[in-house]
Amino acid sequence: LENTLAGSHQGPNEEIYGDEVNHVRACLETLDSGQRAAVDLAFYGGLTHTEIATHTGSPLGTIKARIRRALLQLKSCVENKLNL
Amino acid sequence: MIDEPLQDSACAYALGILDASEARIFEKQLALDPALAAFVREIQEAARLLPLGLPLQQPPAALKARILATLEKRKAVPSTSPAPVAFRRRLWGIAAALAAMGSIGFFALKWSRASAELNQTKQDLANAKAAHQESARTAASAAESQSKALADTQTQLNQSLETARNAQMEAARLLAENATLLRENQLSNARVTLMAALAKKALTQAQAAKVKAVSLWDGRAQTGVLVVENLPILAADKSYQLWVIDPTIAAPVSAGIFSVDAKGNTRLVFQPTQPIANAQSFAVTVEPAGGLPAPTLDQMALLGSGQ
Repeated sequence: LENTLAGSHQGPNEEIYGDEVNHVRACLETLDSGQRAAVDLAFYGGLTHTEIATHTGSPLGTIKARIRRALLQLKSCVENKLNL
Repeated sequence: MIDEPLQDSACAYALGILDASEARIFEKQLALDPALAAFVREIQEAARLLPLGLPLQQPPAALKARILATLEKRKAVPSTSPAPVAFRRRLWGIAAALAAMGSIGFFALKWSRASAELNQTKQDLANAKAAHQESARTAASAAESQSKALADTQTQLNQSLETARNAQMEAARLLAENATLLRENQLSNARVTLMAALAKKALTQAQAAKVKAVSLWDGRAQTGVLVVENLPILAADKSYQLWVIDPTIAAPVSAGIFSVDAKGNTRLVFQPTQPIANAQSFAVTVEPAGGLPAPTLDQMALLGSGQ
């Protein structure tokens, strides 16, 4: 196991990513910075709409819209790419 | 047609950021509305893809030492039960997603290597059994002693298998946790501080050993998040109080009081009572209910210095 762990110093390996994963990453990159920040604060930070609005200084309605549009856009983009 | 306010609630539900009462109300609505339920499922599918946007990270050298130290502990206590639910999993809602991402070869690569080792160990066990059966046929008088030796070997191999499985689970958890911390750092310029539990007056040795705590501090926004697990529940006349130590300010600055739930867990979004230029350390003390203007130092429960 130690030898296995030692392998972790070989660095990131992009080749292990399949086409589907690359499609998803491309879709995530289509989100604008405001959408991405709002979704990241919610998903990774567990912050509520109100907390994100306070944290970023943006209106509550704007935050809700950014998150909604980001998730719908991601869903739509991934469906389109995977159906190509 | 689902109107936008309801879509907003569905998105928040899918991301797990509704509070308990909001979630209960939404779930009642969900049970009565098949179209809403279908929409939520679709949004949840989209949300589950978010971790795929994480950049691949070069693990820091210290991570290997941390993992190996954990493995040594596991070797010392081979009967240890499987790793507890990942601390950061509930915290950031990501570790589970990462663990489930079979396509992330970073973990899959390590898992496949570990699986190969486990398979080899299983093969060794099968070979040992075959050898025993052969010798039993040719030397009946030696069978009894060989049987005992085989049983011992089997026990040892089973212990090794269990230890290896537990160690691999722990390694995967730590790698996922590290990736999450690195990502969070990049996202918000936040400073992550792991806090150590102090076995003094406030906590016994056994209580301190279970506590996990981390603070996330964003100096630009002057806000932070403190997350703790397994902190003892205090009497009604006591409160936990969070302090920020800034070397440019003479006294520790209070950042709020808090209590913990039945499991000893809490998540506190805090803002210190005065501007902080350099959040060098964070500390948690046990104080009378409502807190005090200055900390009672011998009642310190948690302490962590910025990294």
